[in-house]
Amino acid sequence: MGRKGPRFFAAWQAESPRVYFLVDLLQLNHIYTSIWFLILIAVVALSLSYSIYYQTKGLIEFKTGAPGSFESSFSISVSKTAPGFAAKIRQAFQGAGYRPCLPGGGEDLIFEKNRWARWGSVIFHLGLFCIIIAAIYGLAFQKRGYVHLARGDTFSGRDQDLIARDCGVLAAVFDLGFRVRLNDFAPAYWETDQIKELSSGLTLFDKDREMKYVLSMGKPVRFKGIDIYQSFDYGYVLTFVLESKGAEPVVSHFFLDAPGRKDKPFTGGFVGESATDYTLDMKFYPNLIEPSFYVTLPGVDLIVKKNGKVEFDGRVLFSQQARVANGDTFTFVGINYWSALSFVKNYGIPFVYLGLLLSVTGAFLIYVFPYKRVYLKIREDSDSFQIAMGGRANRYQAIFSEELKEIGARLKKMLKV
Amino acid sequence: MQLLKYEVISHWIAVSFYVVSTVLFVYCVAFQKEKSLNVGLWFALIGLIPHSITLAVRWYAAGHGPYLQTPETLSSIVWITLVMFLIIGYKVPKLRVTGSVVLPFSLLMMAIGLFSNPGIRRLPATFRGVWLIIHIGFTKIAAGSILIGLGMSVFYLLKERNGGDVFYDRLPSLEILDNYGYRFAGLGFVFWTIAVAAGAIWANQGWGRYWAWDPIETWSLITWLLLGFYLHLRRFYGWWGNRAAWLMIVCFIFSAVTLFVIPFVMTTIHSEYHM
Repeated sequence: MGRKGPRFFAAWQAESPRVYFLVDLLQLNHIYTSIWFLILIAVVALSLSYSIYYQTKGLIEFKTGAPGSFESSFSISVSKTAPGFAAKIRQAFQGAGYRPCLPGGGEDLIFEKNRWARWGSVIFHLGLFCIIIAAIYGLAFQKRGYVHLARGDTFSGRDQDLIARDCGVLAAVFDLGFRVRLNDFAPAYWETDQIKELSSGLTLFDKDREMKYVLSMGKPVRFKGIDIYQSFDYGYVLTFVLESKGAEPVVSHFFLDAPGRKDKPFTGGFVGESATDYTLDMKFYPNLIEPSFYVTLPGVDLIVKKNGKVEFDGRVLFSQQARVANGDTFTFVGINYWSALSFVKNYGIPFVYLGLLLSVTGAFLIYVFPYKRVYLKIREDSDSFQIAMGGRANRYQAIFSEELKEIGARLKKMLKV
Repeated sequence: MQLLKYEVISHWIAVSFYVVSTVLFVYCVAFQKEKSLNVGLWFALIGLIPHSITLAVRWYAAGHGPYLQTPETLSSIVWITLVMFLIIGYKVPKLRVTGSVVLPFSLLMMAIGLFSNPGIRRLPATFRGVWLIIHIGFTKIAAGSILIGLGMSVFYLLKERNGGDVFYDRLPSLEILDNYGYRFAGLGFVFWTIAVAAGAIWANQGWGRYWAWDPIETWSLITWLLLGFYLHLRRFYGWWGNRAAWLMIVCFIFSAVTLFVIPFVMTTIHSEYHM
């Protein structure tokens, strides 16, 4: 969902309501799904479409005619008695990958190489155009949502139950149309403490159907056009029960984020509205004996505050209680995993892949297969033919001139001149 | 651990050969001794053998390709660049002198890698799949192309400045150097396009989005646009020669910033693989 979640923006709004109003008006809090960004992309699309039209028109109108005059890179004189020199000329050029352009006869011969590659620029820009169109469509209609789920919990699939969402300019709410239950969650680590794998066992409920899936990093689940991704965010959910005299017990769940190393604690706080007047800061150690990500002998360093005053600061083991000043107790009753899931509904993806393929192909054609033309003017004298040769490439003219010299040398050798 | 000892030994052997090769190339340019060029080339070629062993041993020990830690990333980029350079040097002998730019930069990258954390890092959970391999492979090839293009541009400027000097007169003509600089910029653009495209597809598979304006994504786009700008200026505005050579140097700087600076100074998704 990006670096700045809903809590960040809510805090900003509370702190600076006027500034936030301006930011929200200009849609700077969601730049890439804003109207003005969409307009900017549309302008790029228009520019690309004009470029494609202009280039295509030029290519269609292009005629491979010989120029009236050209700079001759070399000329040779061939005796009229030399047999089949025209065929040898063809052979020399075809051996270098050139194809005759005019059927011969007349004064001029024209050879071309990579004629089809002239369309490379059009193909490349068309590919970019496809990507931009797909981006516009996606930016306008895409839907992205994000939830935290404790193991055993079910996400309703409704927009209002998403923790964060990012929808396109023309997209409405993001209702999945199905429920998702997190059956199981299994993190795995390398010996270096890095995450090796995060996988979630899911059950998807759609009307009367129940379908089980296993979700892992890099292997999303697709259901009813929605992609479900395993997020990097995960950790432990700690459950505390607040018991006060004369009041019903209050159960609170605390979602703690995983640390990068096993000798660091899981830290975090409450997600959602606080159910009590107390705030709890906690550092959870799954194993108090030795550093570990897995629960063996769990304990939490707990600070309980009420109205800014610290009521408790100490370590609480699992199933133990923390007593605060007025006799209230917090009992550590539950440990569970939580995992974050991302839901994405993208549009225009086939266009994206088509665009990528076209742009890569086009770029390849432009810079690996430059278009080249060679002109030969043949003039008849009394006892010989004078052949003048020149050429043009749409790129790398100096390298092409060297190639022309090599062809000329080969031709001279073949004609035994 | 025994295996990694062999990796270190073969790595230092490769560096030694590259040092000698660099000295010979620089000697050639400084003292205009062309014969040292071929010897320098041979040293670079022979150095590739222990270098290949280094990468292979590292790959086997780590269980993944050389694209996570800084030393192996730099080392693999150098390997690809030198392979490309040697092929070009074989096919177009006149361009061998550009090794006096390519080799020092390669040696610098190897040196930076040697003094970085050499520890083996395990594969992050999202670093899998064929698109990642394509993305990384083409990024390295693009970096190599741009580095060789830089060599052409630098020699263009040197030859332009030292016109009339016997050594520089023996180099390819200014037009040829300019054209090859253009060609490698074009190839760099093609490979960079493939790298960015493959990276976007891999990002979608791993994180559910093709593009998130991550710093390294943004900078790779800037580099791509700059290369495109260079190519458009050449094609449609007749930019060539001195101006084009300087712009190629700017393109190289941007590509180097994208690959070697941004992952270290900013928090990016690619920071996962840089320690």
